[in-house]
Amino acid sequence: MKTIGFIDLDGHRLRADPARDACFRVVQRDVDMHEYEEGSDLAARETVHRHMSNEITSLDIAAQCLIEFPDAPWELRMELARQCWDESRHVMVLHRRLIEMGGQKGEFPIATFEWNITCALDSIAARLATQNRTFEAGAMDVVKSLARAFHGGGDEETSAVLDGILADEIQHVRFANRWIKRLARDDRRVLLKMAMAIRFLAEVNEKLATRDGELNAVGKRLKDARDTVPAVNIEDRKLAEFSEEEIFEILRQAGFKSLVADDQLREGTP
Amino acid sequence: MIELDRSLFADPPARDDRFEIKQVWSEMHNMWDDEGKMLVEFMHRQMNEEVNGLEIAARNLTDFPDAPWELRLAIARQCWDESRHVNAFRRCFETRGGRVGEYPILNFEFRMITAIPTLIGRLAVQNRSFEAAGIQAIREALEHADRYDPDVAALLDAQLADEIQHVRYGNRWVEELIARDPRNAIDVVRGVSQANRAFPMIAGDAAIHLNLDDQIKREVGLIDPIPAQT
Amino acid sequence: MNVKQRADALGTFRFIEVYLMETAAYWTPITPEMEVKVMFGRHIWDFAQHADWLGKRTFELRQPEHYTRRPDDAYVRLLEQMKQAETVSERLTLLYDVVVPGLVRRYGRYLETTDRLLDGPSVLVIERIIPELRRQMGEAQNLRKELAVKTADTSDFRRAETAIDSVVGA
Repeated sequence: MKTIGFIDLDGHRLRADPARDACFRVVQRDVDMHEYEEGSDLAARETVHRHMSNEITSLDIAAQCLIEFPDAPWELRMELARQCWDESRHVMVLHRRLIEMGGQKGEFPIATFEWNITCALDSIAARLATQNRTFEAGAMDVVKSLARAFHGGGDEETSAVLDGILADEIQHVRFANRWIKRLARDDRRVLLKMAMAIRFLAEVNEKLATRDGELNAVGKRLKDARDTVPAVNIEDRKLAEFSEEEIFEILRQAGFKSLVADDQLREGTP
Repeated sequence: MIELDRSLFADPPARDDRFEIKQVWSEMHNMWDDEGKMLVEFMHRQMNEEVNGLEIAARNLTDFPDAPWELRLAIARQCWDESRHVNAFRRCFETRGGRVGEYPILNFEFRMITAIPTLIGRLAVQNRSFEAAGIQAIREALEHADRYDPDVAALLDAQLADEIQHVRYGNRWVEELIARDPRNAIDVVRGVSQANRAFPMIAGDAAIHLNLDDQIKREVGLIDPIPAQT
Repeated sequence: MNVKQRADALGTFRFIEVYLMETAAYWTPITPEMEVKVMFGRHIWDFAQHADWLGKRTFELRQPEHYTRRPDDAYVRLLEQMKQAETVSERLTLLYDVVVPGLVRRYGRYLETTDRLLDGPSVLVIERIIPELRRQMGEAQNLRKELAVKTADTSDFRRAETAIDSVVGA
């Protein structure tokens, strides 16, 4: 069996990159990415390209879970298989949009950070906690903000694409939440594995995080990663079955920035 | 013609002119000597029982439109199964020279079950009792047919698998509906009690009691259900 | 075929569908071409659904739900060999030119052999699966044209697959 090995990052054992087309240049840190100042066509294309790449990575991760955990309950494997299909469709729709915008795959550098972290973990619960419950739940916040930003900028098509993707991502987070609870109920040690996974993620994140004032590859001055937490998408996190307490904790970490509050302000409700 | 008690038996189902309808078991052609026709008569009778099974399931769909969807889905599936069984029994007796309407039929099952006013009561009597006894009978007949008539054995083998599924979902839903509202248990008791009064009027002293063996009990989920594989 | 033989055949098909789901999943992260990766992603779900339908049907055939039966050893060896394919050309050729068409043929033989009346529910499941597998073959064919992926020489593999009369193990 051909397996994808591991790499060392300052004492942390990460999974080596998954295969990518030769047109892609894979980088490790945000500073090596081509994030542009907002408002230009180039910046919009890079955003769509980045999300397309993230969807490829999500597909790789879900597929790898099917391979590396053949004894997981069948219903959970079905969810992962369904996720593969969803992520594939997301890649296709974002690729189509990218071409419509005059872009092409490989136009910008990409990162496979989520794969490097998630696929280094050796339990299905830890992977669900990291990929679905953390990365994808975070993506729900980001995608909703972005859909709104594209809408605000008059790009209805990209906004609609992102909105459609968001609906699927809710289901990916929800099934992970359900299965994590079920796995933890059946075996309390699962909680420990999840806690260790989240700590591992935090440590690696810290090593790779951008520092305030760093310039990225295209000269954009970046902020400290801790200051760029997106607004929390409360409504969809509820749909994804996060508890009130969990949402409160996420809000606290985000400095109480929420999309629901934004919506309410915009609609003039208290 | 014998008139059945209207408080225990609902209106009969429709049949075309080919059929001669009897009310009780003693009026039927109960052949004990085999002149080559006993099997044909048995298959003909079975065919009509399957028609009754189909009619009962179909009536359950129309009488209880607010039942949970999963249960209605299982009932709809039963309609399909029973329809296939009708055609299978028909094929079986026609290849042996029989024809539809050649022998009298009984429709007491439909009349008895649809006189029960609740869905849980009907499931308890039809799926959980009649069909459960039926599968035990099929299983015993299958052992016999296996030795003497592979064609009939194939039919009974397939029918048994389907009927087990009907008893199984009946069991599951009786339990589920009682779990949702314990007062539903009263309707089970009422339904069974009604059937207990009605059935002897049909069968008379020909009624026999069939005990389910453990294999059948396990398959229908009455004891130690078979766990799913992953 | 009696009920047990039907369950065994469907349980074997379920094994194969799960194996194909796992093979497509195995190839996904290690296949560079985005379009191929994405097609595998779609087909993973197809295979999973087929396995689910078959698994539910086996329960109706007096076996446990998701009853799964290992096929004949020679066939398992072929599946394992296919999974080890190194290039995208080999992967696409082996899966969509040999194994999937072979599976369609085997499903077709099941339909010819079983009693369509008595075994109607299995027939329905298989008649849903076959067009999906044919669609997959078409998608793979189109993708190869689009990406100019050559057809690999898999004549030995094809001969071995064709030589296996029944995949149902003893």
